[in-house]
Amino acid sequence: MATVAPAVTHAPPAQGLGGSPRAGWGLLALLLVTIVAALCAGRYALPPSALVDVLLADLGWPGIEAPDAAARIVHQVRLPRIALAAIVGAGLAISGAAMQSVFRNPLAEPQLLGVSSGAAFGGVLGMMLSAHPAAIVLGAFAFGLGSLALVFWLAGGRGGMSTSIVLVLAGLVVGAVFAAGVSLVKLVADPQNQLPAMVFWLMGSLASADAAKLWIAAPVILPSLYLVYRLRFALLALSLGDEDARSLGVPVGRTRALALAAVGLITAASVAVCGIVGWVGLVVPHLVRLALGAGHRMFLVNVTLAGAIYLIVVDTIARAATPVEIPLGVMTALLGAPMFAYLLRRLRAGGIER
Amino acid sequence: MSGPVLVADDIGHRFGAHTVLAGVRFSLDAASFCAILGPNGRGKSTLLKILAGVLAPAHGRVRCMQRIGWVPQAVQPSLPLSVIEMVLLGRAGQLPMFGAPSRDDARAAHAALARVEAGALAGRLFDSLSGGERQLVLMARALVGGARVLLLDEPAAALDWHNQAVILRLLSDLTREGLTIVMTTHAPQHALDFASHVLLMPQGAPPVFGPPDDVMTDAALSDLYRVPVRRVAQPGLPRGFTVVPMLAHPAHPHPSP
Repeated sequence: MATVAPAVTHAPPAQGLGGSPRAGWGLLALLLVTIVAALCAGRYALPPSALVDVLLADLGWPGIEAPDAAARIVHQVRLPRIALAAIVGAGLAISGAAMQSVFRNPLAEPQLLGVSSGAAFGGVLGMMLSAHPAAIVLGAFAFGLGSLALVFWLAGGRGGMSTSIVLVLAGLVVGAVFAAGVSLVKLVADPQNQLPAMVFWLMGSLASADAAKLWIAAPVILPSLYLVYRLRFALLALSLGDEDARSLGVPVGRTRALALAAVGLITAASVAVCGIVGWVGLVVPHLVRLALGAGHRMFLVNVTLAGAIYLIVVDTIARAATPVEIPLGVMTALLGAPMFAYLLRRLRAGGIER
Repeated sequence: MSGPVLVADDIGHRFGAHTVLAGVRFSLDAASFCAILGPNGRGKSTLLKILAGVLAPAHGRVRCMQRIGWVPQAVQPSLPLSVIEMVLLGRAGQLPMFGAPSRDDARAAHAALARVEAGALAGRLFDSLSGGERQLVLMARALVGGARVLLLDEPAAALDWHNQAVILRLLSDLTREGLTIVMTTHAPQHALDFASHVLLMPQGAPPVFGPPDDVMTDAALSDLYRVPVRRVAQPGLPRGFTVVPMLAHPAHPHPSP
């Protein structure tokens, strides 16, 4: 029988599921290079040979002794900071990709859920009460989780999770309330001692990264990140719309709830350890799609790696480019917004518009 | 032989106070090809969704002995999905929530795409396809999910004649392989030429179900669409005639809207 007439077929060779694993290996290599470069860069510039000495000494290589200052900088300052940047960047990037699937909107990003406002409120509240730094981090995380629970409670009607529009509105409400709370705390905070710290923290920074923060963020972000990765096929199905996905037998409500819970956990942990860092979840997935094509088999792996690379690079620029450190959240917005504008124009030119 | 594969048992539905469906009863054996005909707004798509299990009926129940595949009129993925990814998603229901398709799933997807003779489209973006190509891909998606009963919402709407022929002949071929087809259509000729059963859903009267020869009389079609319908002999067609709606005819049987 006749086939549907292919008008003009610019079909690339049938490439299985799209997105070859090779790109993933390339990104992994790039991540390692980025980490090494970020370890060397900084106000105290470390020549690669000194870095090699430090690492070899760590491994107990006989006859090698690293200079004390270099070892201290690598171990206590740069390594935790880079590791935290990698984990937070990876988490925010995969969260953005998940949000874009769940809400069927290329402009969705983790902050839409209102969780970052909740966590920010917890953080500034802790600062106003002059709490211990660890208590501030945990307070921010706890308020982030609380706001997530609030969003679910508001959105969940009978029959569990409701439609994505209800979730967006619930996130908007919860986010607005906690944003007002943040303003209120800033208003009543001591303008000499507390307010500057709050303002700086809210702008997002990894300057105070240490092993303790790493130990708070990693056990939350890494499992959540893995959960989103395992949901990748169900999330792809959500991009078809609720009705169609349901007709295929996909548990739409449960997939959405799990994905959003993971995004909420990642967001809360990120804000707790480094304040509000925007734009990562919005820019990185689009960047990956533009650079590596539309295939979704390896998409979330690539997004995770690219997110880690992206935030390490941005944070290294933030701490090394100028004599005074630029807040990370300012940098991600400063770089992210124009990058997104460029992507927007590219996507429109390519006709991939929705 | 085994009994019926799809039974609609007094299906009714309402949106608020507005009754869109009432008293839909039919029973289809395997390898049947059923066309659902009716004017706009008589609940054809709603019925299809109820049969597919996407919508719970307000009244009655659906019994289906085999796996159902719903082929919607259009799907708008929010992500740039490739054709093969779209077909693979047909397997989503069989995979666990945390699962991802295996190589076997991918092979099945390519086979299903080949079955609808659209294998060359595998690497294209779904959004870049024509209407006819999209229908084929969505049919492949239903097939790869193991569907033995296909429910299609106006599969031939908005297609040119060539593509209408491609889709309808393919559906007809599938019934010869034992699949059961249910489709809505606004083209009575499609039902006459291809269907083994017809469900007419007239305005203000109970639905009528039966073989086309019994059900699709000139009078019934004239009533259904509220325009005079004539038969014209046309040797070479399965039933030897076409039906022609006389849209410009002054003698309108139902002058009221």
